[in-house]
Amino acid sequence: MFKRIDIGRCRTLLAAAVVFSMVLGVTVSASATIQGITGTTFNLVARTGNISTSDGDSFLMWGYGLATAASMQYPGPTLILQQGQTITVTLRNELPAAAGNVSIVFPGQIVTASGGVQGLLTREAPPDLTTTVTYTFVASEPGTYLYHSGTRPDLQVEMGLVGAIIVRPSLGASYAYNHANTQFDREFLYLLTEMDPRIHRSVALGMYNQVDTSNYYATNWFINGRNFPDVMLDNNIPWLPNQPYNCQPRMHPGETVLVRLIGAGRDPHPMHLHGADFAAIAVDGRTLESAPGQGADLQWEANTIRVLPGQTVDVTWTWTGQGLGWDIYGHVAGDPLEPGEDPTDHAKPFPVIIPPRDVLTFGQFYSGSPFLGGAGELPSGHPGLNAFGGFFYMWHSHTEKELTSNDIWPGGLVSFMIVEPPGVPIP
Amino acid sequence: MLKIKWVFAGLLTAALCVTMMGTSAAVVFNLRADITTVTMPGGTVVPMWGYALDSAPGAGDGTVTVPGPLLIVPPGDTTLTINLTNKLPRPTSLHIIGQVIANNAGPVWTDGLSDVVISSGFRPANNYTARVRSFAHETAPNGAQTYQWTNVRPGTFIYQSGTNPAMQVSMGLYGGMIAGSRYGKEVILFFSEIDPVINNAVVNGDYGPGRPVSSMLDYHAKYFLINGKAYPDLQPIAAGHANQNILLRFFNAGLETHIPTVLNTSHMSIVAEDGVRFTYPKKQVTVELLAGKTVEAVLRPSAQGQFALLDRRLNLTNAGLVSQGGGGMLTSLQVGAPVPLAPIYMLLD
Repeated sequence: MFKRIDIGRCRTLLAAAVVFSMVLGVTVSASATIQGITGTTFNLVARTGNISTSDGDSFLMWGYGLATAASMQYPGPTLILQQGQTITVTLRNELPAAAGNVSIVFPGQIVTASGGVQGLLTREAPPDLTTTVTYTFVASEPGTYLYHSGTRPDLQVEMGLVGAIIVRPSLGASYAYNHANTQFDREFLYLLTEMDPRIHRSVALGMYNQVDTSNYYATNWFINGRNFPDVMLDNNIPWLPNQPYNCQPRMHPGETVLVRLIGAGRDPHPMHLHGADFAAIAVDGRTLESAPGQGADLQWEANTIRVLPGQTVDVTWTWTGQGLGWDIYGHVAGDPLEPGEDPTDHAKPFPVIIPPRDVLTFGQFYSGSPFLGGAGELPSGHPGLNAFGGFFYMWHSHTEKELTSNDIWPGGLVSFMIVEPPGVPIP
Repeated sequence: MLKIKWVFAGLLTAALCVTMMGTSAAVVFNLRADITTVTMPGGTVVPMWGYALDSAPGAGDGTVTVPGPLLIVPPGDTTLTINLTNKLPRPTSLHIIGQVIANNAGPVWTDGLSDVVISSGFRPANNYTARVRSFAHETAPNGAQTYQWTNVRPGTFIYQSGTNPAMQVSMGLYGGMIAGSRYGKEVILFFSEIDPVINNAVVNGDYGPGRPVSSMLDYHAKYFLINGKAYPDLQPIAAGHANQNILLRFFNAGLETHIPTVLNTSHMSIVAEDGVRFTYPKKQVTVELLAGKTVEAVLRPSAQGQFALLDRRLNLTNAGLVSQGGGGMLTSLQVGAPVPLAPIYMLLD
């Protein structure tokens, strides 16, 4: 009924799956990296634009976009920096005059601002299309950070003026910080925001006096600017032009994954990672260390991490199938170990007799086989979203009402980590 | 160097003597719970209840403030006595979160159906509907009582009403208490909120079961305060000098979580919460300041300047008044130029 692992078959499936994904844009080949822009000088422009939510709605946003692009994006460009470099970010304001000035603050960085006009938190660009404000700082410490508007932030952050910053350590790009115990194989970004649609409606209608941010009540939640299931689509899909970033973690068994979580909105979110416990290694771009130079020696393990507004948390996560009590590949005694396989359960049989197909309900991420890399017959009409026989682990907010987009389920703060069989290419 | 060490030892001995002498001292405060009003940016006047520090019990010469006066228990002192005079229309009491009161004749129980007190101390036998109204013995309207703590532990704490605290604390009956050793430079950052609908209902007799505002379930904060004020009424706060360890003492007497954040300067080292010191400080930009909680953080600014301090939950509005451009929990720390190191620091090498 279902097959045990057949890595060769995976490769055959790969070609078909790539074609499939090109047609539908679904997850099977969605890029699993942190997309961003590198360099030392970034020219940003604040603009208006619309985003789409997974319940089929559309909202006016204000966002940072690259000066070389035609539009804003939500969130703003992820700035990937190198430790020690002097960074220059310029900002112009193409928002409507009624939106007022705009600016950027960089929590955790020591910034020199010039140009524009002095605002409450930093220097600001008036909405005149031309005035340029320049922010300069030295990316002195590695880690995960954020940037956002420092001008009436209760409104402008809500409207979408947020973005992520990653500072690569001098030790190398495969380390989160300058210590061996922060090494990772893959990294993923979870920039979390919320939305109170009423505010966006009022702004879209020019009714600024209707906006009372003390009545703030979020009903929409985003990871990297998209709701579930849009997070599982590829980066830069054409029908989400202002929401370029996906959130589609994928890995092979045994790899170490770094998850960079950012609370960019105004509510805390308890993010829950299925599959295994994570280790929290850093907060606000500083390792949890007992003394300088110790790396993340005070790291702690859990399955739910609270991400506070304005805060960044880095966690590492790995998965080998350890503790399941059965062999995830369906090995029999004498079979060799797969790469990254935990030997404890090697050749232990699957503990359940699979009932016949016609009495089962098939989730859309079920491959037709319980084994990693396996495949099986699927009922007609099944979307076949799991072409490689990967294991899908839901990573989501534990405030379960946040798993919706304006009261439509599923949506909001959900994505799935896909543990792919060894040999499946992960772009 | 040897001589300097001896001088240091002498200073240490002197300091110890002072500390030991301090143990026999006992600090006494005469607090008065009384009515007042606060004026929010935009001109809204909100009725409040607050505390005043009087020169003697019942003297009535202090000014009612929200938050109440900062109560400082000097290093070595372990006994704190508060003589409370109540000029409010309701009974009230005192409670310090994290300190054990020594002379508690409470809690005070009602029958659970009305406001009639049926017991002080233990729950009445076989009564399963009685409800606690006050954590400690009450001070009746126009009455006076003494509250005493004889085993004060050091740290940063909130004192507040122990009577119907959901309502009375929201009315403004809260203040800071600090005990133990002090930093050369400290900053008090007391967070709280106001829902004017609640406060007006309380003073107009519209609050309580069967009345227009039946309970605190309707609480919805509209004003967000640091040290009793909202921006733009908040002025920059003098916060020592660059390269100096500045202790930020955060308090939250509101009902919501706030996330104090300081921009454009060094990370804070969070060293204690609820008066309990951490083994390892946490280096963060953000402070999780839960309702009813205190946090101590050391800021060591690397340069002088004016550094914005705000609630990163973005409670930066005054009841939605857009015209003001900014409001709520927003202020700044004013840090002066570095001061040349005092010679005593040489002893630490």
